[in-house]
Amino acid sequence: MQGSKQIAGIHGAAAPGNGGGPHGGSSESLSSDTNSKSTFSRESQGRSSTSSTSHEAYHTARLHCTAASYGDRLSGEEVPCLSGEKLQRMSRDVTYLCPFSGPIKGNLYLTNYKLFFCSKDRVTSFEVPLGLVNRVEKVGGVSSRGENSYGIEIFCKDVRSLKFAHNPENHSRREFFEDLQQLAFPITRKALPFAFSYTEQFSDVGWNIYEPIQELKRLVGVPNESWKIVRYNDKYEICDSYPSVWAIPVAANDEEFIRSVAAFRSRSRLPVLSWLHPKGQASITRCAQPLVGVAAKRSKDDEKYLQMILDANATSHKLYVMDARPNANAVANKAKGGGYESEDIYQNIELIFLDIHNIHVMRESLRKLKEECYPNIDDNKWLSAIEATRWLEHLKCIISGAVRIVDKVENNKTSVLVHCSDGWDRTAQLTGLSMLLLDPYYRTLKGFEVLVEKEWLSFGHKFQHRIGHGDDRHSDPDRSPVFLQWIDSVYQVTLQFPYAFEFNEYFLITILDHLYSCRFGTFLYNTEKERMTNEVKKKTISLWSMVNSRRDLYINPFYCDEAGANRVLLPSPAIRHLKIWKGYYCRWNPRMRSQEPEWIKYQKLQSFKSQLEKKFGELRLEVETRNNHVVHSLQV
Amino acid sequence: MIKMGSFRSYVDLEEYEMKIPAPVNGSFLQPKFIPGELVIAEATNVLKFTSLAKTKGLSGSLFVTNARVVFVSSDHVCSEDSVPLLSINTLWYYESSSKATSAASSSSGKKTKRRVKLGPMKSHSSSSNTSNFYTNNSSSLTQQYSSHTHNLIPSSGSTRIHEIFIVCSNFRTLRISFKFSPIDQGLRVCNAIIHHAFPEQLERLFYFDFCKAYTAQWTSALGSGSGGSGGTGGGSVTSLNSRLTVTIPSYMDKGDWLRELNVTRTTPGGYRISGINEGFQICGSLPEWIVVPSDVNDARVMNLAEKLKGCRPPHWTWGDSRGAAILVMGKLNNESDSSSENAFFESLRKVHPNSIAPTICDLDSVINLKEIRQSFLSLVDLCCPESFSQYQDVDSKFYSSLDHTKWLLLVSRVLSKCRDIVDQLNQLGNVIVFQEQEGRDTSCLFSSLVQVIIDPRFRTMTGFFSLIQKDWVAFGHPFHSTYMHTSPVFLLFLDSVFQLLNQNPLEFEFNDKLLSSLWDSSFDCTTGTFLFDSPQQRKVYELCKDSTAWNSIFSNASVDTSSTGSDSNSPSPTSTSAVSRTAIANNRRDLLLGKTVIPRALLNPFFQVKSLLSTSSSSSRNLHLMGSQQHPNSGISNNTHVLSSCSAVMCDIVFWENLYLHRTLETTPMIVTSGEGLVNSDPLIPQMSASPLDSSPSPSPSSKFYFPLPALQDTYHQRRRPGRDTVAELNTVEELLASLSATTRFQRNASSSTTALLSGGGSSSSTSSSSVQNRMNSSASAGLLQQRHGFTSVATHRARFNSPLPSSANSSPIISGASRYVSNTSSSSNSPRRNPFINLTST
Repeated sequence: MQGSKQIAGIHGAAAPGNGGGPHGGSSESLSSDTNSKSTFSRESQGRSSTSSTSHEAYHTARLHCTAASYGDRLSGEEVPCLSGEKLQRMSRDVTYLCPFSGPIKGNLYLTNYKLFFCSKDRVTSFEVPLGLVNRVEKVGGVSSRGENSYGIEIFCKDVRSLKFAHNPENHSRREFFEDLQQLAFPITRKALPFAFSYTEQFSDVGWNIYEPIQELKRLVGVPNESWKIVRYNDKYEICDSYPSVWAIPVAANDEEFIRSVAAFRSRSRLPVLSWLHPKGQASITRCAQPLVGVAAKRSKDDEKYLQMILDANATSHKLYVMDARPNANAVANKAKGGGYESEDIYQNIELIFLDIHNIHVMRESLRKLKEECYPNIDDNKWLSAIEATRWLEHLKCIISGAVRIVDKVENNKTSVLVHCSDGWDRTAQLTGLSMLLLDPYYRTLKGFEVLVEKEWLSFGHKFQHRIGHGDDRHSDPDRSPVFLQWIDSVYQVTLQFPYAFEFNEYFLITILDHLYSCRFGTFLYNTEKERMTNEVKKKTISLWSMVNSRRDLYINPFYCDEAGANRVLLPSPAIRHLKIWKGYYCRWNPRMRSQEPEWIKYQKLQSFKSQLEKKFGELRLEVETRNNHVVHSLQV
Repeated sequence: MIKMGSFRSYVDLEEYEMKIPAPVNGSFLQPKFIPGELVIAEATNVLKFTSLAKTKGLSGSLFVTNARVVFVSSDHVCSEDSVPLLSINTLWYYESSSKATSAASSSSGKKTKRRVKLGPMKSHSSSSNTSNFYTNNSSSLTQQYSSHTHNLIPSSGSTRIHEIFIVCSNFRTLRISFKFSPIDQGLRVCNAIIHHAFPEQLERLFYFDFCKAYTAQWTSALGSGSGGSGGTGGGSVTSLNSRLTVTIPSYMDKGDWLRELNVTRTTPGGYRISGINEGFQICGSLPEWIVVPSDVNDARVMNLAEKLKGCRPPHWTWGDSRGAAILVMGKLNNESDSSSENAFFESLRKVHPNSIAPTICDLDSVINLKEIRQSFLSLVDLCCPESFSQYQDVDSKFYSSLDHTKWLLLVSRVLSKCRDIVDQLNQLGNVIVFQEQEGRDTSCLFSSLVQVIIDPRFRTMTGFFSLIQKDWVAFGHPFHSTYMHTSPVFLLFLDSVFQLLNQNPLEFEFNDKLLSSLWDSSFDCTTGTFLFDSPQQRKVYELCKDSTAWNSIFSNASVDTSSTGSDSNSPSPTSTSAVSRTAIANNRRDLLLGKTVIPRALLNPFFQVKSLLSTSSSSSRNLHLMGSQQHPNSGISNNTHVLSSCSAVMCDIVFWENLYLHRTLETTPMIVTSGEGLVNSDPLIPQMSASPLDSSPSPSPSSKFYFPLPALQDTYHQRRRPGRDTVAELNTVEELLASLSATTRFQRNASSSTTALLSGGGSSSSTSSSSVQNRMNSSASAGLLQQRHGFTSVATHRARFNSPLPSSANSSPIISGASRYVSNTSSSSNSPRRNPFINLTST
């Protein structure tokens, strides 16, 4: 726990409670925080970043964590390892070509979990979990001229790309490259990702955080008079990408009927309950597009089923169907057998298109964004460049879509049915975000974990395909930053309501880091069914185990517990109120001050708070003793 | 006089509190007038629109007075919205001539949209070429601009003004429709604004009317012995009545400079105070006393001054014991004759302990006024959309438009230059000489900003005020001739400080609300601080010496936060009045003790917590001598008091939403209580339809809004929001701190064996501390900043606090940071340099 202790030291007597967790410094997170620790320690030495000279040094230090982060553990050729992690290969005389501070000589280590670089002088070291590796390329040949022109380049799933130059004479590159390919892409070679080897013990078992039935019960006590819990899907036969337990309207009392409805929905993803208003009866349900097709097919059962959802809410005579797609895309989907509910056929519904683009558009937008953020940021057109990526515009669509849903549910007391094409990307973004806005429970640390488990994992967001864990097909069109985008939109809301969330920015960053790292089983595989088959819960550790056993790192000191007050958030989706998430996208760029991550600030404040409390306790005690003394002496 | 004033204030505050706003008949609407205010034009039955509303407006009357444009609504009691005339940047009007309408005989009368750029009549020497860029960005609009005289709108024939849209330099807007008002009123209103906004002669400023009326009111009040009339509701008047005072040295006197030299412990013998400018012999734009290198005698100073632009001799503004110093000077009239300039630099080298030659910093090459002006105007354009459709259009390309304004780039350039200069000063101990045309525009910006970064003294509230007084007001920044409109260097300064504040959240005593209040007060026509160009002008014209911007900012802030319950129909009157009562009791106590009352709304609570903790972490019990207040003695290594972060990278420059966006837009994020309803249709601006048509930036009391952004909680325009807000939070934190320090003080008294006090206050103090403990506990569960507070416990605490203290305070009166600091240094110039860092804890 060197890192954490270091911080505690920096803040003076800051946080006695913080130091000395049970786990190694490296086990908390990825290299991001080891980097930042070193940054912080530099600042604590009284160096001011205001000087131009120290500024440069500061940059260097930011990118690479100092050996101090690993402290005495880094002796000899040892690599700090997680439990279950094994050193596989070491390559000496490798030069890391840092885009900011130039070449750095050192050793490169490869374990079954990460790539670890340590400079000769042991000042610079950093790690990259192999899960982040998107693509590895050889650069230059043995004959290529010039220093450092022979080596490998590693492109990561976060914005980074790393270049290492090998010494052409000792022929280490080929072996290293092959090993890296092997270890970074286990799925391609039909092996298991690192999460299955990881054995660290945590005090909390994160797999228990989400109990579907309990969670449904929390929502106005489902099952109730209008909604019931069914297990038609417990063998994942009706829909293989859905969870085994659903809540559906009480009126739908026949399994055959449900099968018939499912048959009319893409991938059999029929409408099921996501959220129910605690006071009203307005619901949020989610599904996939109806299989209307060019022939404008109809399904009496589907129509009846939507009516049942509508009837389950006595406060309104209308059901809003929010189609996340742009109108044109929805129409185009008819050619592929999909489509949307026609207001002529479905009685009492109103169809609204929310204009959110598809995964390919988002991928492209993020790619542009990455280009702007790494390695170099052009000061002169920074804001224009950000705008040109249209990332914020996409976020705006998501947030404004969610706000629309919230408005219908909260203010019009109308039920809303959300779908896109398959109901696992944009639908999850919309239901997830609107539930977060509607329900204070999801704004707590635990609630947010439940939300992710429920709306994303159990309803089959295809994490495996979208992220491509351990898969070397880096240009797979299925990959897309849908979840990242959702977390970003959550971040935007936290910016607008800093008191409303129990978790802090660092929590969101940690989720994203481990979305890729493959250290935890949480985000592996596509569906609940696959996770069951592969016994993920048994054989891997949940991300929430780590998070919940180090809650202090992820708590927002500003949080105001409004539970019971049922506050509904209505963020402003206007682009001028959205901001690029520098703490995530730009964190590898050492020019940014935001390298000092928010969470350090949070910890600072938290520790202030506890110090204040401590001080108060001491003073009070003193006053009391003195009073007693005085009283005593007076009596005498 | 002052004593009387502070006495009177209590009465008034209380009256203000107790006054229950009586419903006003719709037929007779009047604003609450400021003393000396006269109505010039008025229009009845007007509609006020929020700039983004698509719905019908709020009806009421519009008044143009000699001080402001005021809208009084007929729907809401006491609902008033006003903009000072001086702040008006642009007046848009929609006119139609009925001739055209009848000729076309169509339903759509031809409306023309025109605009008048308002600004000072006298063209400032450096802003003579303004007209170039005013005309360049109009699209299809007809434009009218006159740089020197504002032409009135001809009232020929049947010209009719339908609507006006006022854009202010402090990013506020006012949109009024005259659709239902008598036919010529719109035109009259427009012409009144155009004619009176920027009078040609200084003497015709509202300030003088105000001062006369104010003095008169004073005299009569003294005569009758009772408080002022009840009609004193407006912010600025209340400010005078409640008289929260803060003492800021004027830097016009010799003593102020002497103290400054002592406090900074500038190289002994290096600099001296020169009376060369006594009676403003050399120039009117500098104080009568200035600090110059001791090596240079008055004759040489005089000689050099004559060769410089504006005849302003070089003057010292900051220094430290290692020889680092900041000087400001103008440029030579004749560049080729630089001998005397060089001689001056040589003397600077001589006075430096290590004989290091000064670094000359030519600011004209860093940034020029025209850039700032241009950038500012496009920023105002961008941030004050006229209509909802414009708002939407802008939104999709907001960031690139923001980029095009180059405002953030300017901020970044300023900061990056400052960082370089700070390095020179701090690491090398160099002397920096800022050189600029006359040395009164950007040199003010840079010298003051560098001092903020380097000297923690200027990061406290009073320190920051005195910095502005010293480097802007006393050094003759031409506030009047520019009226901030044409060269908002001052705003650039405030924005840069905002960036520093953002990057170093624990280092500043104040928050960004103070910064925006400063920008507002530069248009305030009731204080003289920012109204004049030079110390000479100020000496001649400044009538109300005690009506300073500093006091006004303090008072407005405390009025906003403590007593607005009475005029905003707060749904929770009990708690509001409890808050305000506590606040008043608090203020009164502090006033009695002569302590500077810093309104909580302006405070950065973390700074307090931090200073408190750094105090406590030290082993000594002498609270006021410790922690942050121990200043670096000397020595190059010790630079821990320089701000640790001053990033000028564009990505780190934050857009100051609170000032630039949130004043015009009602699109603030919000929280509603579930189940209580809110109807809306437009997802982009969800609260629009819910918000009643009151365009005041805070939602009307009837709506169910809850705290949005913490920053937004400071919506700069009055009114408490129901539910949680910063005020309550700040209150709590300060209560907490006050309680802590009270306990500590008590202890120290005890240790010095004042047994009498002990036995007298013992029991009550322990009860108070337990009530605090309760709150502490609740804070533990709910987070540092967000306890609700039991007002009762606060009240009892106060009660205790009030009783024993004044009696025991004889030995240890609470002295304000500034005055303590004054007394220290004046009494013994060699006393250890003490930082007026929050003396909350001191006794």
